[in-house]
This record gives sequence, C-alpha cells and structure tokens, in this order.
Amino acid sequence: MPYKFSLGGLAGAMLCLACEPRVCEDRANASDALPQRLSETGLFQDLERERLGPGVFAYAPEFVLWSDGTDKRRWVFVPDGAQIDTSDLENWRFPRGSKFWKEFSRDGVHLETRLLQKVGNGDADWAAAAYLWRQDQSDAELAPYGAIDALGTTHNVPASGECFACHDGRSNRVLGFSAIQLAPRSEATPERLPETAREALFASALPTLDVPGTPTESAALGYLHANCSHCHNQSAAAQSAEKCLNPNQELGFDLDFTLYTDRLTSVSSTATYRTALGRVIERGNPDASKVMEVMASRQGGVAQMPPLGTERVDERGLRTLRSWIGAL
Amino acid sequence: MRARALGALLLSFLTLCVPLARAEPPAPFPPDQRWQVAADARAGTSTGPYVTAAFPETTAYGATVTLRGRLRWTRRFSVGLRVPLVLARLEQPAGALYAEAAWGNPELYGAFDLLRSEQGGWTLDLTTSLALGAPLAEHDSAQLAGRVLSFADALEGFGEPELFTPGVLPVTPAAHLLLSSGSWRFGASLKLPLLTRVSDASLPSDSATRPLGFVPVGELSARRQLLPWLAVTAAPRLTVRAVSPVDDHASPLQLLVIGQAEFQLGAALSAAAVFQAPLGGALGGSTLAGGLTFLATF
Repeated sequence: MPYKFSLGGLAGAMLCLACEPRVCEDRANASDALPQRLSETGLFQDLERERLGPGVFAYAPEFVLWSDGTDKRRWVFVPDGAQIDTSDLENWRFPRGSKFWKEFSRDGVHLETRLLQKVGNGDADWAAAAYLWRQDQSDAELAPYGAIDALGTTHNVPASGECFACHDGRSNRVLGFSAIQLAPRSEATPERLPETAREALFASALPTLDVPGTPTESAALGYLHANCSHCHNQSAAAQSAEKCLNPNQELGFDLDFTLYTDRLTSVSSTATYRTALGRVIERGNPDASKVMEVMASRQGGVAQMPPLGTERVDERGLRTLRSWIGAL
Repeated sequence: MRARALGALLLSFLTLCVPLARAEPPAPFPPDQRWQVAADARAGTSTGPYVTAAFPETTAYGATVTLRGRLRWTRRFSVGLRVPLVLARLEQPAGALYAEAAWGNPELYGAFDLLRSEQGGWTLDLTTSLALGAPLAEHDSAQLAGRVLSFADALEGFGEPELFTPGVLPVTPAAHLLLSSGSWRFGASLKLPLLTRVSDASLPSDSATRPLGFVPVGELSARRQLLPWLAVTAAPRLTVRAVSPVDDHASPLQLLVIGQAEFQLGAALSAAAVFQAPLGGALGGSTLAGGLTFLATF
C-alpha cells in the first residue's frame, strides 16, 4: 500500500470526538505466526473425518457466550510434555504452544473456526485469528480481517484485532477455559472435559467448585460471567490491560476472580452481587434494570451489550436474568 | 443506525473546523481574480457496498478533507488542484472500530471560460474543464484503505469517483453552466469521469473489477442570496454508474441532495455549512454527511 497514510494515530486523534470506546488497534500481525489454513493448525489429523490431532481434546464450558445462536465446538491442545499450571485458580498459566479452537456452525455448515495460540512465555503472548470455511467445507482459510455475512449467513467473522477486545480482559487471555467453567461440581453434571484430558492437561487435579445459589441464581450468575465478565471484571489485570473496549471497571460480573477471596460461599460474595446490585440491577424490578435494557438492545455500539460479536438478542438469556432479578 | 447517523451529523456541525469537496470548479471565479483556495470537509456515516466477497459492504464514520486551489493563468484559462484525504473509523465485522486514513487521487485540472454572456439582466457563464488524476489511491491487502475510500465515495453519493476510486487513472472532462440574475444563481454541471484501471493487485481474486469505468455525474443547483452575508443553495446530484469500475452489485443510479448555507465572512472569504444525503439507490437511508467549506478568492 504505497500511498496509504501511515499516521493512523492522526486519524484516531482527529476522530476521537466522542471518545468512542470501541476503537481497536489493527492487530492483524497477531496472526502472522499462524498457518494459512485450518488443516495446518493441528486441530485435525484428518479434517474430512474430523479425527482430532494428537494431544487435542474437546471441552465444553458450563456457561457459554451467546453467539447469535450459532452451534459451537471447542478444543484445546497443550504441547507434549507440558501442562497447564492451575496453582492459581483464578488465573491459569498456559505453556507456550498451547492452542484453543472454537468452531462456529449454523444448520450444520461450518462458518469459521477461531484459533488462539500461545506464541511466547508471557501471559499476553497470544496470536489470534479466525479461519473462514470454504464454501465446499474442504478447509478453512486464515482471515485476519474477518468477513461479513460468512457463507451467505448473517454471521460475521471477527478481525484479529477484535479478538483481543474481549481476550485482553483476562491477564491470561483465555476465556471459557477456567476453573469455574470446568471444575467438578458437588452434584453430578455433564462432563466438561474428559478425564483423560484432565490428566494430560493439568498438573494437579481440579478442586470441586460450586456456583452458589439456587438454580435460578447460579444460572444468572453463570450467564453474566460468560457474557459480561471478560470486560466487566475488577481484577488488576483487566484494569491495566490495553483493551479496545474500556468498560466501567467499577462493575464486575466474574466468578473466577472471587475463588480465593470468598470461595463463592454465597451469592452475596460474588462480584455481581457486590458491584452490580443497586447500580445496574434493581432488586425485584427487571424492567428498571439497566442490564436488561442493554441486553435487549441491538442498536450497535455501546448501547447494546455485549457491544461486539452479536446482532441478535439472546431471548433465553434475557429470560434467565428476568427470573433472577424478579426474585431478588 | 438512525441515531448514529444523526449523532454523526451533529458532530460534524459542532466539531469540524476543517473545510470540504465539490466538483471543480464549483464557484464563480471572476476574471479579475487570480487565486482561489478552498478547504472542504465532509463528516458523516455510511453503510455502502464494497467489492470483495468477505466485505460486501462497508460501514464507517469519519470525514473527507479536500484541499483545493485554483490559479488564473490567463483571462480565460485557469488551472487547479484537488488533494483529498479521508479519515475514518471502519466498523469491523464484530463491531469494533479501526481508525484508518487514506489519500484519494490528487487531481490537476485546467478550466477554460468558454462563454460569458449578459442579456436582459441575466449573466451566463459556461466553463469547461479537463482533469487528470494521479492514480495514488490504492487498495491494500487488508482492505482497509480500500474500505476507507469506499466510505468516502459513499459520503459523496458516488459523485466523486475520480477522487475516491482506488487503482484507477481518472480523466474527467466536465462542463459547468452558471446563470445569474440579481439574488438568484442557477447552475448545471456535467462531468464524465473515465476511470482506467491501473492496479487491482491487492484485491482478492473473487473481486470483479473492470478495466474501464465510466461514471457520469450531473448536478443542478439553485442559489439565493438572502442577505448580503447569507446565501442558501439547494442542489440535487445524480450519479450514473454507467460502467462501474467495480462490480459491487449496487444500483447504477444514485441521487444525492445537497443543502448549503453560505456566509460571507469578508471581501475575499466565505464559509459554507453543507448537508448532503443520498436518496434511494444503494446509499439512501444509510448515508448522511455534513460539513464546512472555506473559500478564499483574491
């Protein structure tokens, strides 16, 4: 691009009229370390038959991020001989070479598969990009700038820089693969990670962790954790991270960052109850609760929550929160 | 969308201090004047078509800034220059914004005052011009500069393709008619940009470009001097993408309506607040812009 104006900062400065919080850095070079095709990433050793590559394990977090109703599958890989350091329950440390994939499909058609790959030893050393599936589903191509309306659907594939808008909210950059999402519960629950995977991935067994409250309360707290807490959390790392989203750090919806301090012994010990009640959540009155208003909005920008990655309201999620707030 | 468009419009009026871009030559250039310099700014928001499969449309808000100058060479011949710059925030697929900037195609033109006639209180001026653009606006492999330029093109209702089409060599013959009487002035312009493709190397293979684009643009205007220091102008502009330089599946016809309030700030200096909105076509309802022009003639 011989004539592309190089002073992107000038553009940012001149257009920073409203201090738009959604402005991201173009971090497409974050995908430089990644292969050009999904078939080269190690996810599958036989892509057509979907035979996973060696050391790759499927997992399913208990609380999931709303992605406009797409079907999602997830996988994790840790290099042979290395393991995830879970000694800090609130912030696992991942060895260099770790990989996470998340696949998005609609009506059985694969649309994109995102890859998050640890490329250094520091917590922030991750590369990220999406792979856009070919129309014939034979493979997926690296798409560092994403795509709009992938394969004729309404699903948009994020640009690399956008990945970090959410992932920078955690000091280890990993979302959905954490103690609160994967640890065993006191009561029988569906397996989130096969035992063979747990043995291979973790240096020590995960403790039993329960989300407090009634089923309604824990469902609501889990929903807020999965959908809001990657930005709205009060951990020091989140406050200091360079994020393109700069949310109100006074609010916290996370469950992870209270594991040590409170052991999640009661709902009142959660960040949500401590920081959001009376501010964006009005006891017994979902209609007066800001959190419901922004969740029900898809006007774009920060008038809607989440502000990125969704164009459809999560009606089921709204019902979950409405029941909970109404009963508070 | 509506709220964002209105917000951007308001912002443009409240905060832009940099002047904007019109078909040249846009204003009367009296024979006894030697220099005319202007700065134009348009700010707004747009969702318009783009040319790649991954990005069939572009949503952005931002501004175009065009500096222009014109020098009278002889009594009837003048030369001019336009240099366009675009500053935009491009909406990314998941909804984040990237701040990007890109140059358009600088343009050098010569204008010849073909006719001046006064009769019955009416004055008729006919000017012809020929502009040659430098093909400096480029697509980039990231489709950022290309989308920024596409946004600028949309803000102008596709009416400045010679400035904002990347990868082409623009040659633009044009004719401009001005009819003045008392407080009224009527204008008619027709320009015929011929866009010869010189590069599309950075576009993905699924993008359909054409070796030659031909995008005639016609504009009518009516201007009324209300007060010694205030004039208002209304102008519809029709762009016909007879041969679009890219196959973006957009409608070939695009109407743009322009409203302008012009303030005489001194003997040689005027400023204008401009509002423009495409109607119908590919941009109607999704694109809105406002801006300022500062024009000095001396």
